[in-house]
Amino acid sequence: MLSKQGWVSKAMVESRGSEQQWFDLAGHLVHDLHSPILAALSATRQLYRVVTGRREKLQVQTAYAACSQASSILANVEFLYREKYSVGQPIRRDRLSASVLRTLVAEVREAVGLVYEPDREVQIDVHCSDSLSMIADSRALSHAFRNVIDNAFRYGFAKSPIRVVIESKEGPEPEPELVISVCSYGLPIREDEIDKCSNLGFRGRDARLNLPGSGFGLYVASRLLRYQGGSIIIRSLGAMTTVALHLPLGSEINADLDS
Amino acid sequence: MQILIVEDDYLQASNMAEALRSNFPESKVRRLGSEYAFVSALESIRSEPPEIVLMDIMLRWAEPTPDTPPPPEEVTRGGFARAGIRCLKLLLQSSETKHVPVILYSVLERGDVANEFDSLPGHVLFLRKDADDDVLVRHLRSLLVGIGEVPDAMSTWRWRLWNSIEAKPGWLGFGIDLKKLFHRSKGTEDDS
Repeated sequence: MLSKQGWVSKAMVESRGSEQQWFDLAGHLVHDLHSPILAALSATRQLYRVVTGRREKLQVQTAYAACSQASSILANVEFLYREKYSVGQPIRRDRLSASVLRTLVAEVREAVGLVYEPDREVQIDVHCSDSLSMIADSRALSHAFRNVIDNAFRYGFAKSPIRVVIESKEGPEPEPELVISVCSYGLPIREDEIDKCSNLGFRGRDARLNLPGSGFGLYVASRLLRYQGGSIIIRSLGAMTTVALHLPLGSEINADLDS
Repeated sequence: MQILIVEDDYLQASNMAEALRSNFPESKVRRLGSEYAFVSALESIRSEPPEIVLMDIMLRWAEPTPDTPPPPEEVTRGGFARAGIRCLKLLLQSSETKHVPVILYSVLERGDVANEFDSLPGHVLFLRKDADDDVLVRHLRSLLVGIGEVPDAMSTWRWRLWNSIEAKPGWLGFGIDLKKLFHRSKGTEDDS
């Protein structure tokens, strides 16, 4: 699946190439992987919606879940690549309503659930006015939310419910904002670890001891939010952890997006 | 027939289980999803050994639960990347399970864990994970019924012969301890 440019870079790898060569190689790899993964994701997503036979459904479900997971990992890698080499992040302007947000959250939840535990109970509550209309990068929001709910599945206790709340806070204080909270029961985050959770490569002690992981997810999510003027707030009390994505609703974010 | 899958990835495990059920419809597939689950189930595995074990190498220590004990020092030191090898060693230590064929099925290359393989017996195969289930099924079949690719079929044949020798020490009625004899000749070869 690698392009010729990718394999041409093989000689560079063997000769321990320069930083610039590594930059080119990584760019080629990320770029070249995008097309096949997105094509596979798109095809399996459509099949997943239409196939009905039990055995076929299971196979398509596995393929769809695997493609969506691969796509998500690639998105994290691409983000890190762009940030490391200051390539700049693509920012989209999408108009989001309460129903669009609900669909976005439900689709991501479903795809992640298939990867870990399709039967896990995930309750999605929407507390937004029907008239909510905001401009934001839906792809970045979806990406950040995926990383957060992925953690909830991964580090949550088996069969424990996950609760997702989408709410708009429209009062003058604090600033009007959209908050998407993911609340789960699982491995605790210690008090002294909470501030470090969004650091690149950081993993809490309990997570590190029990499961392999990269420590990319929350870092990428928090950076994606920050690019849009938002932030991530983490709270943990015993086994209960809430990760909340905050995104401003006001015109400032639009101005940022314009620039 | 019971096939035990030790695999912590839900997607891969369900895919493998489906492939096994369709290729070995008479089989009962049991799945354990972590090293801790395997260690906890060891007694039941010993009392009712599976016909074959399909073992991932890189495994999480445990599924998160409120009462999962922290990993022991050996696990912390050895890391997730050797979990399957530790589980395999537990199987090899027990007289009930030491002859159960095991396929180490991993994304790792054989060279990544080469040091671990020096002392492994012939009924333990290493197979790199592949998108093609047929490769896995072929190896399983070769271990189970003694057919398939020649080297694997030979391993199976040797392994079965070995078992029959152990089961009947007075094999062929000559009263010769063939195992000792074999060890001696093998030792001589190694020494030379």
